[in-house]
Amino acid sequence: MELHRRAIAAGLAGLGLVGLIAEVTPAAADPVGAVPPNSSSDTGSYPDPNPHRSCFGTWPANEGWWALQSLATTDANSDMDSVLETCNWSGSDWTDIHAQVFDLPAGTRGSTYCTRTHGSSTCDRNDVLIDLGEISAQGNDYEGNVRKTLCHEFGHSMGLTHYKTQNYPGAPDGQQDCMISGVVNYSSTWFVYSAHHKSHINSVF
Amino acid sequence: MRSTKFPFLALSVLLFVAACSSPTSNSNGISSPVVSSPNVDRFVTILSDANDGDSYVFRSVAEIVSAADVVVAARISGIEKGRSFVGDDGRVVLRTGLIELNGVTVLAGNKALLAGDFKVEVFMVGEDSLGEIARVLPRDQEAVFFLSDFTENRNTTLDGVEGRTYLFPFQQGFLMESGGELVSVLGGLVAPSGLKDLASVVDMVRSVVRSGEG
Repeated sequence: MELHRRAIAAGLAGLGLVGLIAEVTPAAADPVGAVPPNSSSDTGSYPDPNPHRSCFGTWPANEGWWALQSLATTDANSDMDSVLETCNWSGSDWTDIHAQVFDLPAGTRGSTYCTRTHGSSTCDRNDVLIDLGEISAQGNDYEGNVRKTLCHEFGHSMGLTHYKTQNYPGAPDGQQDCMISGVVNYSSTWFVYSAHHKSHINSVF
Repeated sequence: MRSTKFPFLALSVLLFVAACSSPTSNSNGISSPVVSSPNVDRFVTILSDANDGDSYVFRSVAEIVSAADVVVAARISGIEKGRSFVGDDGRVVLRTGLIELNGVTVLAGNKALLAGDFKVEVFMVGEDSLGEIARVLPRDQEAVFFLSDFTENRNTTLDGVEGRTYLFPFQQGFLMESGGELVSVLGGLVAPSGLKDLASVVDMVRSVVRSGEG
């Protein structure tokens, strides 16, 4: 994707259309589908445009498989390229996601923190923390809710902001997806990104 | 004969000035805040950035009261460095700040959690954010906290103080007022309807407690 964009940029530069690039390149200040007025801040981390690299700590087999599926599905349905690797905390291109099982305070199912930035514009490392015990305690549909929270936190690592409710103001463009907060009932709606959110992902990668 | 007119007038003026400059109180003892809105906005932004995870969404005051270990009304008096939590590769992945309170009133739950040394704990993003939070901290701001005990947890934890109780607010459970509106500090939606200010929150908590006792 990066090579593709560079090729387009070179071609347009040759045609004297560099200004057009500035207009179509997404602004780092608005990488996400914020949902005013109930989205008080941008909780997404702006990623670099390279393949989205991930590494995993120790996971139970099923939950680890659901996590890999979540990334693979996004890879197949967007311009994001997912790469699974051993955690790399050296050099110039760090692993983007370190996903691990964690104990979070009551009520909190998952959190994503950008724990290393590259300059002031992109995030080099997101720690994705998932509390499987909390998700299990919050509802009967364990698989559906784990998969939804994994998709949700990976979304934050790609710059997406979550939204709070299925009612007004709800999802951007009215399309529900995994970026909703809280417990869901089993439906594939909650394992993927809406067209609106995919457009944000595609604008980065 | 000495005149008493001047001291009486002076006292009246002093009382009037004091009444105008002090926080106003209602029957619940909740004071209207005297705070700078830009500071409150920044305070809310920093804390919501760090604490706005994918969380359970409470639909009623009764539900969040039932889930909380303790519910308190208090004034914010300070913030200090808290604990650090270590990830599975040995790195610190989360740091916390500890909010100090005074004038604590227990509205519901287990009062014993507040009997000794206790702090309200919140996540911070990065090591530098403590100083910025301290600069914009709305000191003396009245707030209501719905708290859960996070003293014991399954993470590798650094810098914990032996004997101290660490209480985390639910994402919807740190409420204060700014600009005449109820603000959910950690970014959680204030879902339960009917809440318009801290006094109404306190009223509803007390109503829930009364109905539970009945």
